[in-house]
Amino acid sequence: MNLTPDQTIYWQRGIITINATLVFTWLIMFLLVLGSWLVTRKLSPSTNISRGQNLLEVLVLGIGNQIKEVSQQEPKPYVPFIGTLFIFIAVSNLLSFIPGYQPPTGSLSTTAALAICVFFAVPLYGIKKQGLMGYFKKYYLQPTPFMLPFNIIGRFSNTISLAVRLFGNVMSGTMIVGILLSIAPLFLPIPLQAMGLLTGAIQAYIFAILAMVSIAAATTNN
Amino acid sequence: MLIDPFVVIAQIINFLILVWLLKRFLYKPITSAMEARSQRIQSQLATAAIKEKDAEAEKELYRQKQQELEAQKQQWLEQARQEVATEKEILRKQAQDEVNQARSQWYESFEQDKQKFARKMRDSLSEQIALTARKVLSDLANANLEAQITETFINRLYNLDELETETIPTAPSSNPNNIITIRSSFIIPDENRKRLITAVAEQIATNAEVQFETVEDFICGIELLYGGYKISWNLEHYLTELESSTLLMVDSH
Repeated sequence: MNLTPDQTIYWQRGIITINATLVFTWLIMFLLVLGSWLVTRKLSPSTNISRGQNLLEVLVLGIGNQIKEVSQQEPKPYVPFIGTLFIFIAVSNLLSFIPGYQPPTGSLSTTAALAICVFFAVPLYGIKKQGLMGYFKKYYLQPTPFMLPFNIIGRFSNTISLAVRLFGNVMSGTMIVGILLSIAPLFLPIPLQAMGLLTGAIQAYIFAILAMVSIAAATTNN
Repeated sequence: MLIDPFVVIAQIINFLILVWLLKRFLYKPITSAMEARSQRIQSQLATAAIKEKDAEAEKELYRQKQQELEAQKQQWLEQARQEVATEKEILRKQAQDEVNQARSQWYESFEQDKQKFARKMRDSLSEQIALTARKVLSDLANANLEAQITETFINRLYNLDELETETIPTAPSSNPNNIITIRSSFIIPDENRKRLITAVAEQIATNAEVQFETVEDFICGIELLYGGYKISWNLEHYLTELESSTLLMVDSH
C-alpha cells in the first residue's frame, strides 16, 4: 500500500516524475475547466438561467460571502485564489469514492504546494493593500519589534500546519479505508468512506478559511 | 520521502494555472453575468420607478380632472335645478293666469247668460202674464187688459199722494205749448182717452194739451210725462222685481 499518490509513478526521467498526484491533479483541473466552460459558454443575464449556471452562481456567491464574513472586505480580489483552493481541495477529496482514484490532496507535496502558495499570497495581498512598510509593520513588528522572530516562526508554522493538517486528514482517511478493505471488505468501509466525504469537504472549507484568515490578517489594520 | 520537490513545484504551477483558468472560465463570466443581471434588474427597477412616477402623475391628473368634472357636474345640476325652478314658476304663473282668465271669461259669460236668461224670462213672463191677465180679465170681468190698465192708471191719477198733489201741478212745463204726453204700449180707445184728458185736467193741469203715443218698447203699461215728473203703471215694475228675485235665486244656487 502506498502512503501517498506520489509513490504511484507512471513515468520518470531524471528528476521529472509523472506520478498519480500530477495525473489526478491534471484530471481534476481538466474536469473543473471543462465543467466551467460548458456552463459559462452560454450564460444568460436574464432571470431565467440554467441549472449549471445556477449551481456555479451559488458556488461563487457562497465563496464570496464566506470571504466577506471572514475578512470584512470586498471579496472580489480574493475569490479566484481562495475559491480555487476550496474547489480544488473539495473536488480532490470528494472524488475519493471512485475506485482506483487517489486524491492529490493525500500527497504532502500537493498540500505543501498549496500551503506555499498561501505563504506567498499573504504578503502579496498584504503589500498590495497596505504597502511594503505598512505590511511589515503590521504583520511582523506587532505587538513589539521584539516579537519579530516569533512572528516569522508563526508564519512558517502556519504554512506547515496547513499542509500537514490537510495531508494527514486525507491520507489517514484513505489509509483507514484501505486497511478496512483488507480486513472487512464488504460493508464496513462504506460509512467510513461517507464520513471521508464529509471530512474532505470540511477540510477544504478549513483550508480555504484559514488561508483567508491569514490574508485578512495581512490586509486589515485590526 | 513524503515530499517530492519536483511535484511540489509542479503542483504550485498547476495550482496557479488552475487559478488562471478558473478565473478565465468560471469567476469572471459568472461574476459578469450576475453583474449584468443585477444591472438589468436595477435598470428594470429604475424604469418601473419612472413608470410608477408617471402613473402617479397620470393618476393625479385624472383625479384632478375627475374632481373638476364633478364640480362642473354639480354646477350644471345646480344651474339646471334653478332653470327648472324658474321655468316651473313661469309655467305655474302662466297656468294661474290662464285659469284666472278662463274663470273671469267664464264668469263674464255666465253673467251674460244670466242676464240674457233673465231678460228672456222677463220678456216671456211679461208676454205670458199679459196674455194670462188679458184672458182672465176678459173671462171674468168682460174687460180687456188694456182697458183695465187704463182704468187703473186713471184711478192712480185721481189718487195721487200728498206730495205728488203738491208738486206735480205746480211744476213748470217742459215745453212751451204745455203739452202732456201719455205713452202706452197699446192704442188707447177714444173713450178712455177722453177720461184720461179729463183726469189730467182735473188733477194736473187744466189748460194742457194731451198727446197720446204708442211705444213698442213698453212691455205692458201706461205712463204720463209732465214737467220732469212721470206717473206710470207698468207691468215692467213687477217684472223687474221678479227678475231681481230670480237672479238672487240663481246666485244662491
